[in-house]
Amino acid sequence: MDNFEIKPYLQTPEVRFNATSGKMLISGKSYPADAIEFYQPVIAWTKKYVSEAKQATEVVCDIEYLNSASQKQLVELFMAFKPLHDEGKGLQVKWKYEEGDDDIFSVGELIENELGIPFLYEEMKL
Amino acid sequence: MSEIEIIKERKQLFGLPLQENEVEFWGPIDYDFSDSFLNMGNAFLSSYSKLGYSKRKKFFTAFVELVQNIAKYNETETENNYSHSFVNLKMLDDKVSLVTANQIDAKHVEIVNAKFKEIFSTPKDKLPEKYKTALMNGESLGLVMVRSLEDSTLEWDVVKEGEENWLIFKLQMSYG
Repeated sequence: MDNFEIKPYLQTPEVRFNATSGKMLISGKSYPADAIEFYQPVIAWTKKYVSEAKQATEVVCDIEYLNSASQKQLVELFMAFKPLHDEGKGLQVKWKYEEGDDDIFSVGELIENELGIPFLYEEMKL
Repeated sequence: MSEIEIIKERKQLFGLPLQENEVEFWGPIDYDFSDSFLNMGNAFLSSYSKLGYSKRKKFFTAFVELVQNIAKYNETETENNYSHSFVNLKMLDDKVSLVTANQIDAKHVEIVNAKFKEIFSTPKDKLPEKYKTALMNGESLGLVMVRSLEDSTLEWDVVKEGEENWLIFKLQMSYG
């Protein structure tokens, strides 16, 4: 399976999903006007990856800005990763947030609690 | 009349230039334009040290939601995306102010009124629960986010001007 990469742009994050190593990274700003258009290919790739994954997976989410449409897409994305956790294949999620950014932190907590996937939190110093 | 004379006449007519503490746009707003305008607004907000990093980030998040709401409406609910809209971002002595206005179709007025009355009648301490429900069910949550903004006031209205219906938001947040 090919890796999946999107370069960062003004309103959209960098996406580096590696099917071989199982390391996934979403990093940067995420406030595209049409979040569905941006995230649907990411989610589609993830669903395929999850159906074939043999190794443990690490997802690092390091988001600076998150609009409401992106938040909804992130929920969908983590729902796509969830079977890895449910089936005991190994899923580790690292949720990074800027120092004092309780909004981004809360989004992580909400997704963690609602989907039942354990998150590790890392506060990034400004 | 030369181009310079035309420009000068327009500046005179519209009271331009605006003060250096504000950014304003009047015209059609679609997805592409909103992306550009938001970047410009972010640069504008960043140039004011009165607004600390954390507050700026929170206000910018609200700015994104309100401008993208207009773009989404224009992209999905109007036939040609050319419905006129207005955005004014202004730095005042003790607070930052955002005013948005966009034309909405007469058939949406009742729906918009009902939806917003429901959100605005929800006590602020109940908003986190509303936000959670909306997020997990894929429902509209932008306005819930904006209303939850600390140290801020958010007002809305639907105003009829002749045959036109305008949805107006006024958001103000203190520098704190």
